Amino acid sequence: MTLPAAAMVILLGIVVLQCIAIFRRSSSPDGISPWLLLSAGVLLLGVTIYRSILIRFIAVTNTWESLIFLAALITLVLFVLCIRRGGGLPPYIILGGSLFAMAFLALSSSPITSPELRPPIPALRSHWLVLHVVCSFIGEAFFTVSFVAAVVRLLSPGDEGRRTRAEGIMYSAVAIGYPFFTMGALIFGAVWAEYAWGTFWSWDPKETWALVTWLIYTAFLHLRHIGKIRGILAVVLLMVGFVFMIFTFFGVNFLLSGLHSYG
Amino acid sequence: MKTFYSFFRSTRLAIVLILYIAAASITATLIPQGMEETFYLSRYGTAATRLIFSVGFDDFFRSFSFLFPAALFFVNLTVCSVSRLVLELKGRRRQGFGPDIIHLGLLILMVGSSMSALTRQEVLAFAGEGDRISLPGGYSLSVRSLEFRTYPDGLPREWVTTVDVTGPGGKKDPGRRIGVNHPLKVGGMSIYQNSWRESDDGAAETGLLIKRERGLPVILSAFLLISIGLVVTYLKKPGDSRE
Repeated sequence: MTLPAAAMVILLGIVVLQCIAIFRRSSSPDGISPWLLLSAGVLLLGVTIYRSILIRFIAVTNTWESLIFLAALITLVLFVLCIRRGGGLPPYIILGGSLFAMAFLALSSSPITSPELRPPIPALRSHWLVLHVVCSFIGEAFFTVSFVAAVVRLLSPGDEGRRTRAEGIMYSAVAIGYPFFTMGALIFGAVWAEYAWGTFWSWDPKETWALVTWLIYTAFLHLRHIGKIRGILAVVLLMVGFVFMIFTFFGVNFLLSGLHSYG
Repeated sequence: MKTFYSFFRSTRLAIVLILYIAAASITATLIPQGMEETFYLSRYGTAATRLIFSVGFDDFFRSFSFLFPAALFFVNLTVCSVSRLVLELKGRRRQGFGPDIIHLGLLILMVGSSMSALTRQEVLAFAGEGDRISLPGGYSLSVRSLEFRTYPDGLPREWVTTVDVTGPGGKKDPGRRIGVNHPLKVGGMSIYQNSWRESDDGAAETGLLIKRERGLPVILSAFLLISIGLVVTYLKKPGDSRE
């Protein structure tokens, strides 16, 4: 069994455990899910590390590698958030996050991408590029969790406790993801562009959409700061931000043209 | 004066501007930028093309529709930052200065980007082995060798141009390498390994992008400041910063 397949099995196990917990309305978190998340994350990171050794470069430079890496980060972010919060994460959040990790893993074995081992083209051979991808993806993993929390918040109008917990996670996930995304997607991306092509920023569709994504999360944080972020508005912004994030990752490559068609 | 201040002091204005710039930028990615009028006419028809040109969406990021809101944002951010600083100094606010560092970095970034955009000059020069390229300021490059490195399967790994630099007054700096992601800095200019081609008789030619601008150090300082501000605001005490 390959590492991604093993991770997929573990994720399936996590999903089953959460469904059981939800069905049973358990109030206490099961002690095992965080460690299953960690295992899945470590297995997937193992794929990245293994490929990196083979191609002698950090393996985050094509679509397949990106999807594996993002799935790894989502599971690890969930693990970290479980450990950080004394009471663990609510099962709905772990469920949603794990489903996303599974979705990205499933995409990696779809026709849109190939696992073929390919070291990067000259433009991608840059430490700044690695920093750009790694930090962006860490941010995006947190934004994915905030999206899950937003969905839970939306679907829990009656349950006060669940709503409050979801709102708390919506905010804290964005608060941690935002600096990573800002530095990764925008700052390190710009520095890489300057070294590779002689210009920090050229307003190409991918860059512009990354900026738009960033602006949505910036708006969210500022609305929260001035206390204008009640309920549904927060949910809508985080959902829009997440959709834009996905579009920046995939949509631009496949639907718009520009410099950025690497992965 | 007071209404000017209160208008530009508001975070709500910032949020409105942020959302406008987001929406308008999206539109600008959906309409191809910088094309000839004939392109838009054939694609969108006369009425739509007239609209596109009147609001500057054929070249949005250089148009009034972008630059004016961006300028408003600059004033907004400046007034907010000064106001926060004043309140902090008066002891009437004690919420940590992380965001202020980010905002200052952002302001400096906008200044640096404007400087860069206004002063940028670039030229793409193709040269073969043995060719000489003259640069402004009394510099010249002599192309010593061209190297195209591949991976074992033949796919490109690296293009490297080795040049001998001659400075004003004949000062020599031989054997400098220019590779993708490894530009050469010479006399206030940066030279990038941009492209590669074969001339008609099969000889390799390198495409070197020669660029000069002012604003690079300002932009990099801004990036550093923003990064520091982000760490101070969000990562020093994760989760419980109420900013």
